[in-house]
Amino acid sequence: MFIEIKNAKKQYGTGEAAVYALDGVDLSLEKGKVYVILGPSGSGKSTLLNMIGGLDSLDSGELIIDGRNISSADKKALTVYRQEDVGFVFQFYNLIPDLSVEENIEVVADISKSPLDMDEVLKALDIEKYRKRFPKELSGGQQQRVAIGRAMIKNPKLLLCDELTGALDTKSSLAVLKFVEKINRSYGTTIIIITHNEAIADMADSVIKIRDGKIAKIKENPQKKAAAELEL
Amino acid sequence: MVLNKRIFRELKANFARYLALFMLITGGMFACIALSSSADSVVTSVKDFMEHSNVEDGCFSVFVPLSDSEIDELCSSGAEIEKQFNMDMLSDDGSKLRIFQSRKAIDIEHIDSGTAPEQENEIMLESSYAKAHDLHIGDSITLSGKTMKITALGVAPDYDFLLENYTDTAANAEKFSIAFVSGKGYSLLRDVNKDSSEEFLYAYTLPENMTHAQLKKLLDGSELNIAETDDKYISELIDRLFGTNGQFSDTDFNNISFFMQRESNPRIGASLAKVGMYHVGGIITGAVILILFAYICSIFVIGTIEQESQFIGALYAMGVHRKKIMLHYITLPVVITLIGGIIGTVSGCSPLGRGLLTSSVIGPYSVPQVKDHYSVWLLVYGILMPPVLAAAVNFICLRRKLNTEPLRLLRKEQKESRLLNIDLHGMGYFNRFRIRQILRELRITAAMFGAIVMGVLLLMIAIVTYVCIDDLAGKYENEIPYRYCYYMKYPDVGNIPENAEACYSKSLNYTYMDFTLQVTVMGVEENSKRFPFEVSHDKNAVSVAEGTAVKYGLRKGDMFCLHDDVVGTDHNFKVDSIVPYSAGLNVFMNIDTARELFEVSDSCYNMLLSDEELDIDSGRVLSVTTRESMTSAVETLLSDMMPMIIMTGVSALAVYISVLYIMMKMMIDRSAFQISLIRIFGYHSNEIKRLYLDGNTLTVVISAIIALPAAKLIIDLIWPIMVYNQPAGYACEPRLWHYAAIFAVTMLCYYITNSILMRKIRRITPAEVLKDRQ
Amino acid sequence: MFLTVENVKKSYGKGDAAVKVLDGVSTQLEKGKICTILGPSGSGKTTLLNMIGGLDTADSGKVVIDGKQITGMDPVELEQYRREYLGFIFQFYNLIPNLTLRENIQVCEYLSKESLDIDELLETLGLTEHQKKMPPQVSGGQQQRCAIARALVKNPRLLLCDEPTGALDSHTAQEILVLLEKINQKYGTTIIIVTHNTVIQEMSHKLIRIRDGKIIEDSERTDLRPASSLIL
Repeated sequence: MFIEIKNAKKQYGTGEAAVYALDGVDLSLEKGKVYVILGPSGSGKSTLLNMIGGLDSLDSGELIIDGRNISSADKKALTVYRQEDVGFVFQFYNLIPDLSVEENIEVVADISKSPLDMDEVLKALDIEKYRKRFPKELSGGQQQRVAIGRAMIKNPKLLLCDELTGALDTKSSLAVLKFVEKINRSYGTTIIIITHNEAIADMADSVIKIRDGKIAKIKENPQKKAAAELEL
Repeated sequence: MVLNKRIFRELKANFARYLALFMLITGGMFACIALSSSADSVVTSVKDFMEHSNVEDGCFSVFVPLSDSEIDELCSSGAEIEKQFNMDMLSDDGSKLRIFQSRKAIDIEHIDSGTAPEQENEIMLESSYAKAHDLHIGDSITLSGKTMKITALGVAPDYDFLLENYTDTAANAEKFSIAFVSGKGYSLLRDVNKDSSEEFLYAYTLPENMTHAQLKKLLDGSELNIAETDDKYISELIDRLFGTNGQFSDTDFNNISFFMQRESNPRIGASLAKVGMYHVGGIITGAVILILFAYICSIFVIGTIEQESQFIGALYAMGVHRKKIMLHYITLPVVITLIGGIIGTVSGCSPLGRGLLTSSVIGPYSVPQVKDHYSVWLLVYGILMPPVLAAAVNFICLRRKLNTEPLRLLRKEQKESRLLNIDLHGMGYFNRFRIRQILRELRITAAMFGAIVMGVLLLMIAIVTYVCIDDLAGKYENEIPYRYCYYMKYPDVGNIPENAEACYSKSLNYTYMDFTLQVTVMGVEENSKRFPFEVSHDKNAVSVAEGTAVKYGLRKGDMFCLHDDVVGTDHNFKVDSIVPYSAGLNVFMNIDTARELFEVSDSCYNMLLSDEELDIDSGRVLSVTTRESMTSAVETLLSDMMPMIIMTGVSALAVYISVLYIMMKMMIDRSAFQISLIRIFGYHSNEIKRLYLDGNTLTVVISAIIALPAAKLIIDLIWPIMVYNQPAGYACEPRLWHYAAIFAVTMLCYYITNSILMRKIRRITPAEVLKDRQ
Repeated sequence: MFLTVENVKKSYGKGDAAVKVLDGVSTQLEKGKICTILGPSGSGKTTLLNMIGGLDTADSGKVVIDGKQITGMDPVELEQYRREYLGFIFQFYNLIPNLTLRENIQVCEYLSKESLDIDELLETLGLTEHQKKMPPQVSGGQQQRCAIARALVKNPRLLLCDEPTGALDSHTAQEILVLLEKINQKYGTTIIIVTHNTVIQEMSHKLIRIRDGKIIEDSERTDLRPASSLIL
């Protein structure tokens, strides 16, 4: 199993104000698949993503990714883990505004041991003609593709997307999801998408519903839709 | 690293701000290094000079010149002795020159330009005197009717400080200086000199294993060879004192009228002490300026980090190392300070930089032409200190900010600050808003506070320096109760001219804070009209002049010890009272008490004070001093200090306006979004000003109110150190209106900055908010 | 008629690169109605809102509100107009982060001579217990509610909303829309909502569709649905 999560618990705050963001989560994820994690705000889906991405640590429980025990890793090991194995895409792109598209991706390529070819990535995301432009000259959808390119340039095993279409309109959202699908097919990257938009779930291999810090339901999708066919 | 391309773009985007900072750093470093460098050059030149000229270890005067055999005897012990007989002569314009013969072994004079005088009508003038009188080589000068041709200009190490009397406070090269002539010239001048008598001065150097005390002991055995001298006055004096005709024992009358070790001599090495302070002062000020500006840099950087926290978080999420990010943000401040430091330092060390301040630094001192001394250490300091400090300050300030968890950065979470969240109920809306604004921009407020403290301190130093010296000049003008003071060559009895008051005075050494100055014990007449205060009648107690008491922190009842170099004894005095007198360093006692203390005969006196010129035989007079020359010396000191005072004042204004402007502008830039927002709601420009700018009025006022007494405290602490080598008590008493003036200047600078920034507020449109869409 | 827009034109750029953002837009709105302006991104809907709000100047045409002609006013007059007439609600709340919620509302209370009672407003919007907190300490929904209180406190005649629910999850979004409806009913405030969310039109009295700078639909709606029944 690529990702194993056993009885993961995470609490914020203390005493009366204590909130169990994760309250005993068990999860197994396969390599190379597309996962969508659905849940209302406050359900713990972001916390779960941050755990998997090595941005936050568990209070108790186990998190093993590709044989590596992340749950007990120290800050330094987590940085290495994030450096090599994880790519992040955020809701608000978080591109560096005074670097060009190419330079934004280069920043991450620089720290990667064996990055993908820049031209290849730009082409795959259809942003080659924007390579010298700056983020503010691009639309939301285009910026998000750059963000994906930045995450992908280091050929991570895992691509984690936090509400990646949250700030986009329908047309752009579809375009972005198409590219995510393409990446999964071309590079075999395991994809985890967090969203509250149920329509996106249709393109996942497996849909995980989370509520109040616990897994509520896992639905396999043997006949998943192509991104182009989604009814957003 | 790609990330570093941002640095150039950031620089371009905020060019004005970084340029301003760069210029401040360069200017600051230039000033401080120029000061240190010129001071260093002067110190090095003077030390070199003293060594090469074989500066004396001490000097002494005698009533009757030593015989050759006596001199041989002294020299056989290993000491070296050289005659430095001298006399004071007046030139046409009333200025006074002390004429010496050219030296051969000790205190050898240094020629700045020209050739040593050889003919009997040739003379070498001291350089600052020549400059003050616009005299050049080839010009002539008339002394006592005799015209001498100037063949050289230069300086001597035993008159580094051109004090007419070693008890004087200040020197005035225009009114008094020294000159050198050949042996022939000296004989010639002595014959025509009607102005004063000759001083029989000798300089000595000691061999390794001999002490001053040992030499002194040898000297004490010196006989009075009346026959050796053709001075009729000494014979007369002996007759009067002892009634016999040459028959008396050596112990009755000490031939030594004056003995002074080099360390106690205020004329020697005075420049080193004073200039040394500039050296240290420049270095310390440089460091303080740098810290302030590095802190301001860090404020910029932190502001940038706060704005960019989201993608810093994204980069952390991608696995970029914290160290790399830290390095990225420190780069610009370090580079700016490095380049600014290099330019400022190199130009400060350059002839231009040094030349700018050298004359202020040298001030009234008579030193040889300053040779350029390139202090490698100073160069290294000026080049390394700025970037190192900048890196350190920024590292410390940025560390906390960058050590945040990536998640918190992504969410742009603000630290839970209890200070930010304090409950302000009960306050009017505008005030609450303004206070929250200050709290939010605490770092900026802190930088403004720092700048104001620094500005206030600088202004106060400038004012205090001016006021103290000016006050002292005033006191000299008003308090010195005589116009003429005649130092008698021999202690005398009787023969006191009408309208003159006789005093018996003796100068003793007082060592305080490792520095020795001359304090004069003044024995004054009972019911003296000139010194109309009660003085001590106890030979173990003295009435201390107010100025002296202030300088040494003496109070009634304190004990202090004065040392008599000539006799070699200590006098322990108790402070009997403090009397109102501020010129020089003086303690008073009744004249009879003084005579008893110093074991001289009744009615003996050695000083005459009067309001008109006295008709005394010049052969009886060692030297004459006037109130006018003493006062003008202090006034000259003031004009020497003016460049420094003005530079200090101007620096204060520069610090104020630049820092206040940069910081308040930053505050507005950081609030541009909010300002745009409330403009959308319908706020007018003057309301915006009241909310976002005027809160700073509170900051500035409170800072100034705290800074004023704080600055006074700091100055009270460092003032004794700043004047420790000054032979006068400068009381540091800024008046109330000085405080008010400093406050007013501060507020004025603030209001000017405020109005300039008002224009910027007017230019912020609602567009800022409207741009912020998906 | 409360609001009249007459043939307003606005373009950016010059010559060949000129973009006609508003190409002769005309419409009218009655007092006390809710109007939704729908359109894709780039359609000019925001520019139209800015025109009405006196935040942007038209190249030609007229905007008249309550008898006052907005077009042709100088910046200071516009400030005064916005001060007296308008309330604004933005997609990203735009609360001032270092003021408490109550103080944020006071920012606008200051502007009006006949402001509403703050305590009552806080009560209506369910913010009484949070009023001394700072914006970062409360949820998105609470922040938006505070922003609404701020817009309402000066009892504006016209409330302009730019994607008010854009950053909120569906549950919270609905709460906000219910609130807006309540305000319209209680205070008779005229409300204009700009959005790309087509569902919101169902609670409005008037719908304007705008595309490429032109109004393509301008209809009075008769079958309003209560906000609580909307499926977001």
